[in-house]
Amino acid sequence: MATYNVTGVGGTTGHPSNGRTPYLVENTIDVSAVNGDSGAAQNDVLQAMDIPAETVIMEAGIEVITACSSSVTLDLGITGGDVDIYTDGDTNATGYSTLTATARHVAAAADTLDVLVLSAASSAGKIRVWAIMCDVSGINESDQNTSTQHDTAV
Amino acid sequence: MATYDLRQKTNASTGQKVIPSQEEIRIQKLENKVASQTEKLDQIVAMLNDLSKSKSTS
Repeated sequence: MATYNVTGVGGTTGHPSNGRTPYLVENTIDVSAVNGDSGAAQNDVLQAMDIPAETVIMEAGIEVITACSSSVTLDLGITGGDVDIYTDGDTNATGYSTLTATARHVAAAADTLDVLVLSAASSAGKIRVWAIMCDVSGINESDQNTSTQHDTAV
Repeated sequence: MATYDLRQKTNASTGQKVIPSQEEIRIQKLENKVASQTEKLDQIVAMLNDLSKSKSTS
């Protein structure tokens, strides 16, 4: 077993403070006003925000500002993927949803972060969907190190 | 089951918003201030040019 140092230049000086930073995105949704003020039906999908390509959603959740109709539960995740990766069956009590422990999502291609209305229809409720995202696209995706750096064990 | 696109501002949503950090807000204010000063300086230069022209013709 050998260890190869392919970290590139920089040594032990650490990462620069002006590197890419995560950012907060939010969208407040009035569930009662969806579908011409009829509210959301059971199993409806509410597309809350865009996820740009090559972006990791470091964390996301729902803040219930006004409770939805009785028995409604809420998922937050990726439709067609893991629909409850960030929030799983939140009982829509006012306050922040419980965060899941599932590994976080990296969107290879542009996608949307969606709320799934479950267990019952909802003619009431106001929720704020929030997400902390970070662009993880590469700026130097070709191998430019010298062969010596690769071939010499540390 | 239906899908509703609430990513933009609608009757039912504020639309998605990127919330700037305190530092970004401070930089934005600074940029606005610099832009305002630039505008004022441009006006002063224009007035001085006009003054210079009127003096040279008289």
